[in-house]
Amino acid sequence: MEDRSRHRPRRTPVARLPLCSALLLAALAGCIQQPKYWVAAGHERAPGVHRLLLCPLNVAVSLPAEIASGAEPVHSELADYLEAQGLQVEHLSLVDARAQWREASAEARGTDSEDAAAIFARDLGESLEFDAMLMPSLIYLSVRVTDNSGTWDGVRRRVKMVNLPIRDPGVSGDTFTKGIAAGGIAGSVMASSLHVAAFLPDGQRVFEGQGGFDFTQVADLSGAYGMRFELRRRSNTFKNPDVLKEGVQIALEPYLPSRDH
Amino acid sequence: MRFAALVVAALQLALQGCAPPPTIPRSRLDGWSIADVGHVRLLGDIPHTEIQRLADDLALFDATFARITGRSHPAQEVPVTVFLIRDPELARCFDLGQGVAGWAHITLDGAFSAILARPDYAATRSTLFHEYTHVLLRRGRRAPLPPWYDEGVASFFGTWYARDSVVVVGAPSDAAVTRVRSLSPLSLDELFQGFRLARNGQDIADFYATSWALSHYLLLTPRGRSEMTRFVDELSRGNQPEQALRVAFGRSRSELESELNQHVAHLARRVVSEVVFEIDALDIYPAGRVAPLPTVDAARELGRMALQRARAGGDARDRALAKRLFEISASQQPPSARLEAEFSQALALSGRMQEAMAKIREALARAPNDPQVQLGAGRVELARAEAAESGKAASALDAAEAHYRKSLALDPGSASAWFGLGRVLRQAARPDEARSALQNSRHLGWSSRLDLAIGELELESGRSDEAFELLWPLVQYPHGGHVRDEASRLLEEAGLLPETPTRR
Repeated sequence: MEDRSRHRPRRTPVARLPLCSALLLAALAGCIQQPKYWVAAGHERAPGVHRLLLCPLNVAVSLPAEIASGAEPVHSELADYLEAQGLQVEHLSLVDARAQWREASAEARGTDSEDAAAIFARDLGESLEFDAMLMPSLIYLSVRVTDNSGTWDGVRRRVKMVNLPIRDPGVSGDTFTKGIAAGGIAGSVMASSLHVAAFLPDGQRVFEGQGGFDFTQVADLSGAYGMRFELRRRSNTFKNPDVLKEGVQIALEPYLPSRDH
Repeated sequence: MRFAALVVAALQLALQGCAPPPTIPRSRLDGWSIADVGHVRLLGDIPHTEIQRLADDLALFDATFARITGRSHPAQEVPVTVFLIRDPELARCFDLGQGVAGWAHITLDGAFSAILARPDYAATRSTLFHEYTHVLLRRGRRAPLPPWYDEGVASFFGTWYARDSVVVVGAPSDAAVTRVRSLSPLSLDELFQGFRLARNGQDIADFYATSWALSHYLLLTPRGRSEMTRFVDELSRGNQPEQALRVAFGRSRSELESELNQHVAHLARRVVSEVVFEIDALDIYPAGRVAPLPTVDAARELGRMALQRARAGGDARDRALAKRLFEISASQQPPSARLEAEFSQALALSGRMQEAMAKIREALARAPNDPQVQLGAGRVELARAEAAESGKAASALDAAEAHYRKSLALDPGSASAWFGLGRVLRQAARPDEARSALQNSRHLGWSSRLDLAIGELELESGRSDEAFELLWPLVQYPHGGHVRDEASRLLEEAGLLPETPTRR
C-alpha cells in the first residue's frame, strides 16, 4: 500500500542560508516539498570526522505530543546509521542537553550576535571531545496531498486509508464514494521528518538537512457514505524500520552519506 | 408503521451493541490478566507483555506526578481499579468506543476507570494517564474540582512519555496549540464558567484546548505549580473557585490571560516547554508482575464496575450487565458472602427483589460480622424501600437503617455506610439526622452523588444558599452525566439555575 519510491535528493548544495535554522523554520511552516541541504564549503562527506557527539532529539525545538512516540525509535535508528558509517558515537543525555541549551539561549539573548545553537556547540566543545556534533529534531509538518499521495523532504508517500467503503462504487450512486474508491483524497495531512544540524566544536555550523519519514495520520473512510472522511492519528508511523532508515539517510546524505551508496 | 418502529428499535439495539439483556458469553472473559501498581490494579484482556509495560509505565508516572505536584500517596487510599478493554463488544458495554477512549468514575467505594485498549500503545497509555490523573486529583478532596483544572491538568499529564532514560511531561499537542493560537480560544472568564458554555463539539474542543494551555503554562514553573497547589488547597478549605483564584494567583484575570497568550505564542514558535526528569532521580514504587486473572474473577471485577455505574443512575443496560457478570462469577466458584452481597445488589437494582432478598439472607447467614455484607444488605433494603408502594416502605427503611448501623459499628470509617444511612434517614423524613450522617460521610470521602444528596436535602430544608454551593459545581462538571442532569434539574426547579452565558 505504501509507496516507498523516493525522489533523489539534490546533491548540489543550495545557496548559503543565514545561520538561523532557516531550514527548520521553513519546515515548521510546512513549505518544504523537496529535500534541501546546506553544507559549508569543504565539509561535504564530513572530512576528518571520526568522533561524533549525538544530541538527543529535539533539544532546542519542542517535540509535539502527536509524534513523541517517535523519539526513541528515530534516535535509535539514527545512532545505528551513524555507527554503521564507522563513526564513534557519543551520546548526550536529554537533561544535560536541555540544561546546556538553556544557558546557551540565555547567552545568545544577551549578545545578539550569535545563534544559540552555535554557542551550545562551542560550550560543549570546551568540555567534551568530538570532531562534530549532531543536533537532530523530529518535526511535524502539514503536507499537501493529491490523489492520496504527498511529497516532502525527499520522499513520496501514500496516505493509508482505513475502513474503505465496501459497496460497489457503481452502485453507491454518489461521486464522493466513487472518488474515494477510485483512490483519491485531497487535502492537508500531517507527516513527520527528521531535521539534522551539524556543528564543529568551535561552534561553526557546517550542515543542515532534512529527510521525510511518513504520514502520521490515516484517512478513516467509515463515514464515506455520509460524504465525509476523518483524519485519525496513525499508530505505526515509527514502527517501520525501512521508513526510518530512509528518512535518516536522506537527512544526512551530503554530509554523512551511507556507505551503501 | 409498526414494522418501521421495530426496525428502528432493532437498529438501536444493534448499535448499542450491549442491549439488555447483555449476552456476554463466559468465553469473552477468558484470558484476562492483572498487575498491581501500588494501590492501583490494572486489569485487562490484553497480552501480558502489554499490561506489564503499562504497569511499569504507570509506576514511573506515579513517581513523576508526585515529583511535579509534591503530593505522594497518602497511607490510607481508596482502591483504584483500571480496566483495559480491547474486546470491542465488551468495550461497548462500558460505553467505550464511538469517540470515547476512556472514563473515570470515582465513588465512595473506590475509583474505577475503563480504558479502550487500542493497538496504538502510546494512545492507550495517554488515555490511561489522562483518566488516572482525574483519579489522583480527587484524592483527599472534599469538593469537586473546577472543570478547567480537572481537564487541563489531566491533559497535561496525559502527554507523559519516557525516552533516553528520562520521562517527559507536557509535550505540547500541535492540535491544541493551533486551536488556542489560531482558532477560537476561550477567554479566562469563559473558561472559569466551565462546561455549561459547551454547545457543540467545537466549544468542547475549545474548552479542552484552553484548559490544557492554562494548566500547561502554570505547571511548567515552580511558581505556577505552587499557585496551582494553593488554588486546590483553597478549594479544599471550602472556598468557592472565584475566591480561591484570587487568593492563589494574586493577580487579575486579565493579567493571567496576558501571560497565557504569551505562553501560547512561545508554544507556537516551538519553544521547548516540557518537564524532564532523569528516571534514576525518581522515587519509584515498582509495579508488580502481571498474573493471569481467572475468568470468574474478571467477571466479578467487571460486575463491580457495572454495579457502581448502575447505582450512580445507570440505565437498565448497566443493571442487566452487572447481574449477568455476577451470574457468571457466582456460577463458577464456591459461594462467598461478599460475592452474594454484591450479586444481591445487582438483582435488587434490576427489580428482582425476591431473588435479591434470598441472596442477601444467604450472605448474612454466612458472614454476619462482615461490614461489607452488612453494607450490601443495607443497600438491598434501601432498594426495596424505593421500589415499594408508598406506605409499605417503612419496614424496609427500618431494616436498611439497622444494617447500615451494624456496618458502621463494625467499620466506623466507612463513608459508604454513612452515605447509605443518610439516604435512609432522609427517606424516613428525619432531615437533621440525615444531614449529620451525610456530613459524616463527607468527612471520610467525597463523591458527586454525595453532594447531590446533601444538596437535595438542603433544598428540601429551604437552605437554598447551601444547596446552591453544593449543586452548582456539579452542574459545571463536564462528565457528570446523571448527577449533573439531576443537579441542574434541582436548581432549575428551585429557580436557582443561573442563566447560561453566551460565548463572546
